[in-house]
Amino acid sequence: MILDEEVFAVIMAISIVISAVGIAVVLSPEIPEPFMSLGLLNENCKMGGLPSTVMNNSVLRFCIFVSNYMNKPVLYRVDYKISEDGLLPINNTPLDLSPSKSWHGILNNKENTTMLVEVLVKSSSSRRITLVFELWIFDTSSQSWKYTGIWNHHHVNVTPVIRT
Amino acid sequence: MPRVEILIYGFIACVALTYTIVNVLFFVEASDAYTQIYELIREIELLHGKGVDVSGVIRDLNTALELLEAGRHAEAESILKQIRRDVENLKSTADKVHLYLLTTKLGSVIAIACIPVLVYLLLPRLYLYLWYKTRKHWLVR
Repeated sequence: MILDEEVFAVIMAISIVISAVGIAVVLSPEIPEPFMSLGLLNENCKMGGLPSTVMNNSVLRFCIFVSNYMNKPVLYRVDYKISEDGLLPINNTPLDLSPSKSWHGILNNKENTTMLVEVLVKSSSSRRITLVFELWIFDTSSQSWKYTGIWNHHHVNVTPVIRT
Repeated sequence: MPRVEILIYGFIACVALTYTIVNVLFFVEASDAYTQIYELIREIELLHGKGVDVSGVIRDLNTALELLEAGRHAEAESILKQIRRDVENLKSTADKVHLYLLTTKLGSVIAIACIPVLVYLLLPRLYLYLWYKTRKHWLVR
């Protein structure tokens, strides 16, 4: 093997690139694009198999999965709302309804949790309702709750309770 | 109004008043606990930013939240007090941890930045040394 000027220049170029990439990796944040996620699972904490028809005033069991990749610990809140008119939240606006139930928790960075919850399905009139779960986080700079724009929903057909 | 009716109305009023007072007290207690949690999460976030391991206090805070949601305010309060003490302890070591992590990071950056310089300085020497070692027994005829 001959280490002439050209070979030496190529080796030097490779070492400079390796060094630059290494420095970028060391200085970059742990998670370059922070995000959170919310998942709605069935009562066995598995995907799918959610009920499509339920009796009015019945209690349903779900598992809610929340994960935090925000580069910081996060105090979160999951709000459960019942949408009777088919409306859904959007990325920047939550559903304009007061939550029927809320669950709080704190997740460290890169942590996730799955919690088993019970929700009451209650409909005043409509036959088809939407169960909405919104994810909120506590913003420590403004000391207030902030909607993350993340939600899950599940449509159910409500049947009236038959009294015998 | 007959005396019995007055007594009944009085009793109902007493029960209603007690119920309201208890509810208000619970609400004040719970909202006070949540205010404490909001303050604590801010401090935990700052500690995490400095590289301090906050997994222990997060676990305790989750327990306190569960107790609050179960209406067990007194137990939640005592855990919150303990967390406050733990956070204060962590705060006292936070600057040292931050400095250590910063130094480690700076050291890594300097070490990586030295790679091209070392290659430039040492590679020709190493090459010549190996060249000589592999050929030192050669004979020129």
